[in-house]
Amino acid sequence: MTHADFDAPTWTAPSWEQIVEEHSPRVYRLAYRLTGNRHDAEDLTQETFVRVFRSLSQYQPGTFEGWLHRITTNLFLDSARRKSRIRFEALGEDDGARLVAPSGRGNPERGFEHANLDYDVQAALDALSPEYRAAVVLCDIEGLSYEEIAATLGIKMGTVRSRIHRARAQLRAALAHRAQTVEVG
Amino acid sequence: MAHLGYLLTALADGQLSPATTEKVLEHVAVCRPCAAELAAEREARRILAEAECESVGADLAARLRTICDEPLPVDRARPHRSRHAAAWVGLGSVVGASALAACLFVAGSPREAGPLFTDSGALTTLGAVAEAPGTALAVPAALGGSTIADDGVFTVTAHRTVAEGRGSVVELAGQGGHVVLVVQPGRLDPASVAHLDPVEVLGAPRYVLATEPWHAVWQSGEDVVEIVTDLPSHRVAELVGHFPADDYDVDLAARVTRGWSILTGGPPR
Repeated sequence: MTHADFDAPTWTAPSWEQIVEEHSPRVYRLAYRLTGNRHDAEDLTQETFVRVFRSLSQYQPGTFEGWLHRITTNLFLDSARRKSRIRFEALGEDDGARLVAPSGRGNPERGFEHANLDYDVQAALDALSPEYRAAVVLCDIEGLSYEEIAATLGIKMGTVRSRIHRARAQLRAALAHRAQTVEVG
Repeated sequence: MAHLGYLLTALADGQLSPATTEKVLEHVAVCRPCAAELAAEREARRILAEAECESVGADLAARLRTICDEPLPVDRARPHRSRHAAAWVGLGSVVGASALAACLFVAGSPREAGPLFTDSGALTTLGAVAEAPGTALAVPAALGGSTIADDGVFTVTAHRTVAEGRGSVVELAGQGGHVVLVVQPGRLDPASVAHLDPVEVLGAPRYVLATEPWHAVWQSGEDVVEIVTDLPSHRVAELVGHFPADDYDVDLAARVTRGWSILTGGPPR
């Protein structure tokens, strides 16, 4: 069986190489912004394309980018939640409140990696919760509308609005040194 | 102190309607704090949008290109001719082997699936859930952050796989009742629902096999979804209507750990 032998009467499947070439830069950029480091971004990108390959038969023409966003972001969030759950269990409930997202600042490899890649922007993103980060990355870096973000993350528009609003506030505080405009009032 | 809260964020993102945009801009024109807030929002957005990011390395590009050369892992490959009898025996510990309908079968490509439970099986299943909540997978109600705002509505009490790991049975307990959710990859077997008229629930056809307890099956994206529940009817509609037709192929357990509220799209506010 091939992966396009049903449900695709008018659509000619591109070659796998074409799919990879066309979409991998964007998936990788998204993965990098979400995970904050090259190693995890490469893993996430690969996992995303493995899912894409396995599910090509279900692909509906016209939704490919949205589909990629959805797979990448949800794989990331699932992984982040699994990690967080393990940490909570390992430390016990009382310790949960004290947990903070690892910033990566103490890791020399990551410092080197970020040297020419707007380290401060990535560090500010890393400090956000995974859910806030996903929303704001899809908005600011991928250029999705709130409606598209709601569909991608499976959340309501109101939730998108509040997540982006709060995420942006945290980012602004973290990136205050960058601001070119002078705060007034 | 700005006065418009998230409206300024949405304005900076170009996500307000023309009418609202106009109103917000009218206010911003005469309010210095809000003008500053808007400028800061736009600046933060610009910094993120313009941030440099490294590109795909040669190693990764090579790995991605060769994905299509790799055989699909057995647990994901489909269609897949399999030993369903083994799965039935495994599930029998939950619902009693006699309660199972032998209507799950492999019929060419893609794999077809019918309801997992018979009518009597549905009753037995709910009874079993109510009396002896499973412990196969304990999922915390809240996984931190503000994301699962409506958590606690349902708690996963048990989770097990069927059909050789490709399908999942999830048992949930919540206010007002219990839910058994079965998700199997594949196409809904037409023969298994041929005797039923589809019922429209929130715009999509569902096949209702029983009403006490409510038991229905339908196609959702690439999965066959089945729900058995003793919830009151208005909550059933809500539950079923919000089950996502999700074309994003990921393990159900992962979806469930995101919380029932996300799995179902959340209860009405």
